[in-house]
Amino acid sequence: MDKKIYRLLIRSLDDKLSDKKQRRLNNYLSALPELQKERKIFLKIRKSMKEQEYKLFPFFAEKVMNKIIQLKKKQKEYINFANLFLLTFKRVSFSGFAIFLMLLAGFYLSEGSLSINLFNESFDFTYFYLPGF
Amino acid sequence: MNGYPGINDIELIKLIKEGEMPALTALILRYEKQVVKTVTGMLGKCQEVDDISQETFIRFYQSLDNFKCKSSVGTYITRIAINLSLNEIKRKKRKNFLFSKNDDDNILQIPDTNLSQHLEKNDIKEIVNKAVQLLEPKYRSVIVLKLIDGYSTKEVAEILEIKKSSVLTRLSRAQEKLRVKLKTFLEE
Repeated sequence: MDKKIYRLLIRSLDDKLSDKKQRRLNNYLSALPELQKERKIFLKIRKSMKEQEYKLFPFFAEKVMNKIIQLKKKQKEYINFANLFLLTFKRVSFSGFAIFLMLLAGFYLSEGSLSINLFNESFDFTYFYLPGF
Repeated sequence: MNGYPGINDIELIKLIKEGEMPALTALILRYEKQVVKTVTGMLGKCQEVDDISQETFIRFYQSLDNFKCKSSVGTYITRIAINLSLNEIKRKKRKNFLFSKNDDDNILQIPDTNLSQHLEKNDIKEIVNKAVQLLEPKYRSVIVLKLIDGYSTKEVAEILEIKKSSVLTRLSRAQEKLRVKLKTFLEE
């Protein structure tokens, strides 16, 4: 059988053919019993697909809803944990910053200045120089 | 339990976004059959159908903020179902490859060909279903959406995000392949 005609037949099952192509197909269909047979088989396949059975699952909606509620719960727990973590981090960082400021103020009060040189002098690294090295 | 009878899908989604969970149950009940039908068509009758169908609605709920009402709710849910089914097919394929399971790929086996003359309607349905499972995923999805779910060509193109002409081409090729696979069983 001509492959082109065969494909035209399949195409005609889902698409609207142009008048010219439809006429051509009709002519072949009336002339070729083999093509008619093929058409019948295709229609049979399509019919049996339309009638495909499927099984619904018991308590489907309830199961989905339960899963969604569990997910939301987990999400909430995660958000709570993240918030707690953020709060702790904020507290620690604020305390750290406050201690740093206090140290700086103490340094300023004892030395009368916040110069970098003064800072170097107060931590004189020559004290750590070991002779012979 | 099928509440919200007079309320359309878009209004239901609005209610779900406002936190009204019974509206989600109503939406699941509306589309349950459609999703199970699509997933069964894609995966065949197997254990995973229930899980994938459930996952479809969970993903739908999680992606509600992305849903802009440009397509219908049915189309949107079906797209999720198809994508999850395609992922499951890939996963199964990988698993079969890893454990080198002999899958009898592309062979539709019925011991006695003379049987074909005595096949009953249900047997034919079963054989057609098996043949669909042997198609490549891209052909399978088109066949399932168009011939099993009954979507129009335009809707199939929208769900799969491909051109209408591509849908028609895939549909023709898929039917041609099916015809070859079912050669011995459907001769009159």
